[in-house]
Amino acid sequence: MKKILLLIILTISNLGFSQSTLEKGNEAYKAEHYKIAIQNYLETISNDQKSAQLYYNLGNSYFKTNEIGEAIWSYEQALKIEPSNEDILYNLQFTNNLTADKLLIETKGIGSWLTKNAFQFSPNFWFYMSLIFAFLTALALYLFFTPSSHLVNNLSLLFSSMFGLLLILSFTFSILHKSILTNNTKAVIITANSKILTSPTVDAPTSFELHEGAQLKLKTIQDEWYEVQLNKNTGWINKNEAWLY
Amino acid sequence: MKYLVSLFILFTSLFSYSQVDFKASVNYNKVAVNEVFTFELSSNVNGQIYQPDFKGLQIVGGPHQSNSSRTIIVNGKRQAVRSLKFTWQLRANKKGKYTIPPTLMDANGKQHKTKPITITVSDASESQKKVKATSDFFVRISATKNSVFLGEPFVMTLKMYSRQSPRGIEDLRLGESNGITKKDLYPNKTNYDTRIENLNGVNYHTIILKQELCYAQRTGKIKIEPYYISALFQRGFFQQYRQEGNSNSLTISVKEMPGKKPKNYNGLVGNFKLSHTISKTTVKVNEAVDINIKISGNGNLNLFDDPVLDLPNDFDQFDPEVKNNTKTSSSGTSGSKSFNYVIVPTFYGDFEIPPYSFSYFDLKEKKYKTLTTGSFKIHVDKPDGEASEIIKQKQSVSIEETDIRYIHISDLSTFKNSNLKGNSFLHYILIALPFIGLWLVLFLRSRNNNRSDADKVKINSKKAKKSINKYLIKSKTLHQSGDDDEAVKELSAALRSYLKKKLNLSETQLTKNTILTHLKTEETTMLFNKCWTTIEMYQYAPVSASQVDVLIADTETLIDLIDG
Repeated sequence: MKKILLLIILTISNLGFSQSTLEKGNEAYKAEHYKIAIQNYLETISNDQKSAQLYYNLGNSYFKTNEIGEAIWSYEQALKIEPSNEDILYNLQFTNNLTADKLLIETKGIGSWLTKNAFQFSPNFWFYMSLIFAFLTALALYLFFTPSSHLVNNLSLLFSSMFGLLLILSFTFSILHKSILTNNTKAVIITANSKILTSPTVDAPTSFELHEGAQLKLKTIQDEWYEVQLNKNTGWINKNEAWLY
Repeated sequence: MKYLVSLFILFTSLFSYSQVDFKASVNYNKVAVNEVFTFELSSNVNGQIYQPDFKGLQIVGGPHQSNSSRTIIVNGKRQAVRSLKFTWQLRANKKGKYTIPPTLMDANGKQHKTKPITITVSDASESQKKVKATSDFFVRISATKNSVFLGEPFVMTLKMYSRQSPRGIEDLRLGESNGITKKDLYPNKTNYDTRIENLNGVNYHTIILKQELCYAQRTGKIKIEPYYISALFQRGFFQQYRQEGNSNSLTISVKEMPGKKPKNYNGLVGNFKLSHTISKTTVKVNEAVDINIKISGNGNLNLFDDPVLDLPNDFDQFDPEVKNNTKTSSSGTSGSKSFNYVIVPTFYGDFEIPPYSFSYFDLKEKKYKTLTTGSFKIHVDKPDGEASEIIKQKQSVSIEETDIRYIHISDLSTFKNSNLKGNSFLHYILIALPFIGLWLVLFLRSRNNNRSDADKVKINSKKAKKSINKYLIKSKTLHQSGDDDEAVKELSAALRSYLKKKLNLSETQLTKNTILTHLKTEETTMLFNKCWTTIEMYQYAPVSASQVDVLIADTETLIDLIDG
């Protein structure tokens, strides 16, 4: 009996004191042991854990160890989860200024506006919103089908169509948000300089050259190669030289 | 060879000389076999010269004596300059090295000696091209040090050697040297001293054309490319000719300083002192304060950047007044540089200007040193007057961002990809659920409505008797009170209303014939006819009270009968 009690106490205290790898990473960062911090953060990610803060902290650690490409990758991942976080945007811009290639980064247009505003909430925000709007639409329709005064009839028709539209919108957004969070559409170069080849073979001629931190659009993945696009130029890059986000 | 001239007895000198200049020289010290060259003895005093021993060299001609004297009057002082020369033409028969030993001369009671001269005699072919051409005229560069520290000063000298006295320098091109800063020590030099230098027995006119103070800026071997010179000479009286040549090249090896480089080191090498003064430490708002920073010493002072004072934002700063009191010499730049800063506080309070510091490399001790001023503490008094007069304008808070922002620590929550609920089977079900619910509700309600169409009549007819009762009671009370007219009217309304509800008829269908078609039994038909006729009759003629009694009773029976 005593043994069991002791065991329980030990487990509880152990739970209380054991740090998550994320916390360990933060502690290492505070102590300026950036490489250890990176290890801990990466371990957290490999356990299928993600959050904007985690990627942001990882980006900072990479930045401090002078890994520009990896830092940009981390900030972009963080930005996917919290697209309007000022700190992430600031650090990303700061890091982008250190890259060698002058590339046009799209920051305007309806796409990025949508990303910034519609997907800045928690990952399941639009899921819950679609459920709420489905309920409200059904409620409004019920009122519409129940015979009552003209005013109530008209209002319920108006509301049901309005909620219906919102339902479609929130449903679309929830699908889009999930695909943004789970799919990779871009690549960032992590080696100091990298050759983009014209075909996915080692001895293919070079199409263009880029440096660490350059961001490209991802088109397809084929074996050991990524097909990437930059300003309508396409080429192939080895998997080891770029990270996807 | 067999001539033996034992001695020359010459005139005794009329003037005394402080210095006896007795020299021996040849016009070439590298000659070919059988090439005739000249050996010359020159003296500025008269004396007894012993016959030189030519050691195997053949005398072709001589000695020829030449004598010249000039009288110079400088500042009213007469001075006679005498020069005495003996020349021999010599020749070597064989290849090899010949040394002419020192020649002796007795003058002023002392014995003077020339230096020995070595003549190299080579084959005719090789000697003529290289030796003669270069040895008439050449240029040399030399450095005081061949191995220096980064930033350590050294002097490079460019010297021209020529057999003849040059008329002028036509062209001078400096050789390139990547990684060395040079500073001309005599940039405005116009007067060049020609000196006579005896180089291995041959007299040369030498001119130091350039002396440059150099600082190496990078480590490693730095090559100084040859300098090019073209000079003019006079031949005869009218004829001028040109000689040109490149100097040798030099390689300087530059060493990195030992030890760790301090952060605020920007290349200063030497020995420095730093001093600072502040005019006032207690001032009023808008009152100027002078801060003076002075660096003095010896080294590459020209590399010293203007000190930057890290002033609080509440100070206005003006460009410093720089006093440069340095001079460049062959040992480097020395002197002092002083910077006078005028700063004006725009707000009151206690301020501290952090100390200014810089590092340099001490050449003597061969290590880095850091000099620091003290920090400047300034107390700024509140200005007199009301508070509203003090603050003039809002300042925008200046923010300097030179690093990325710090990590986020507070939020430790994470999510997994599997936590994302959108676009899943559950999602579709949950969205469909309210609509399925709605459909169910509407379906149930409509089924409910269809059933009650038939039942409604039943329910109405059930209710019909209940609703008629109060009319019947009312008509009875009216009859008892004697108001038969009203009682019959009530009764008629009650019957009509009952039949309407019971038989599910509209107002227009409420005629005697229609009602009769709905009545089923003969008894009810009869009774209805009786009641209906009585009520209709009553509209035209008064009816006795007993008849009203019968009518009420009949109507009640009728209703009971229809109701079943």
